[in-house]
Amino acid sequence: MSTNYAPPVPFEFPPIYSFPPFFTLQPHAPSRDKQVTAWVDLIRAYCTHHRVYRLSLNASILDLPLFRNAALNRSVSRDMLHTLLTALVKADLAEWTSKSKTHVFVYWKSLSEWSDTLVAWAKDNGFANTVVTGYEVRLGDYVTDQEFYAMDEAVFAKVVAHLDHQRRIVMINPSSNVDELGFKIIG
Amino acid sequence: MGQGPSKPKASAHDKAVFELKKQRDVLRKYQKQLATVLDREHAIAKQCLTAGDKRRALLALRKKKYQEQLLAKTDQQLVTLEEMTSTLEYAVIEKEVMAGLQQGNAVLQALHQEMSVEKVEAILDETAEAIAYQKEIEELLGTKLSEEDEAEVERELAQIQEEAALALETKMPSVPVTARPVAENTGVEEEVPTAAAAEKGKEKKPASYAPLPA
Repeated sequence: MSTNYAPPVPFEFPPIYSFPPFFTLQPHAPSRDKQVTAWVDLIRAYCTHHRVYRLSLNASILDLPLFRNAALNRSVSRDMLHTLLTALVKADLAEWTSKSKTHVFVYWKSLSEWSDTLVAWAKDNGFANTVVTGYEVRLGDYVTDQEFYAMDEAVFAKVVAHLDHQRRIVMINPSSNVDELGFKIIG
Repeated sequence: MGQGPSKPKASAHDKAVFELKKQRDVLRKYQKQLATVLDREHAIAKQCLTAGDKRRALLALRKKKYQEQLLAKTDQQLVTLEEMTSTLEYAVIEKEVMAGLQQGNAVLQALHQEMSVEKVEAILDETAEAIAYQKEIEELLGTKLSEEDEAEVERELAQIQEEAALALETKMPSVPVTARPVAENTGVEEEVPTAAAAEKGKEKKPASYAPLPA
């Protein structure tokens, strides 16, 4: 995960987080399914709260409070993490970044939800039908209070591509460098 | 998904605005970078001072001063860029207003063309002709109607005259009755004037005694 965002209030873990067996994949299939569902909900809530756009199977990710409960001295194993990420992808809440399946983009908001958010922002703030740059929308001075501020570059590129596909923007300068993207949001 | 309107194209104007905004972004990034550099130089100066290296501290501060000047310059450039962008965007609005005016003017002209003086005159002439024709017809029909009317009027007149005559006749008999108060009338004598009036027909009798047989 990579984010500079500091949430105003700490994340409140659900009670199940303090239940030690929660950190071990259950052998009994029905219990395991329930457990995985609970994990998917928790990951989504956590990523929403902390604006996490990426998760990986790196060892470092297991140090994240989400996967390591220091008070219980329990943490998720790498294999279990793989299972959880797979479940997340299956629930359309994440997407493997590559075929190697080591990283995921976490879609705590789906691409179409992000698209709606951007269009709504443009309409509400006088940015509709004017040329904006990727940098301006993602890191500009006018968006610091927006949910999409400092959005992951790759996810941002996907959202812009989605908008372009839906013809809700006019692409003026396509670029692999998201900062140099130029487009007009049709309002 | 192939539905939706055809893809709008980016205009040259959009590209120009984009280039300006891109330059603005470059400046903003540069400013952010300068700000971190400034902080670092400041930290270095402090560090050098505590270490007793006044020369290096001064150098760091000089560098910092220079960076600050750069920052001020970029601020100025940013304002210039923003102004240019605004001007461009405003020019587009002006263009749209112009286009609106032009369209209105074109419509107005087209309307005026349809309402040319000659056409109006021609229409008025035609209207006048039509009115005259209508009048002619009316007159023609009017005279015919009055002939018919005349016949009816005459009939009515005759009827009224007849009625008047009848009324007169019905009154007549009563006159002699009251007119001869002195005369020593008998029932026979009384019949004489009525008989004389009866020449015109029996109608007078029903007229006078109408209430009974009716």
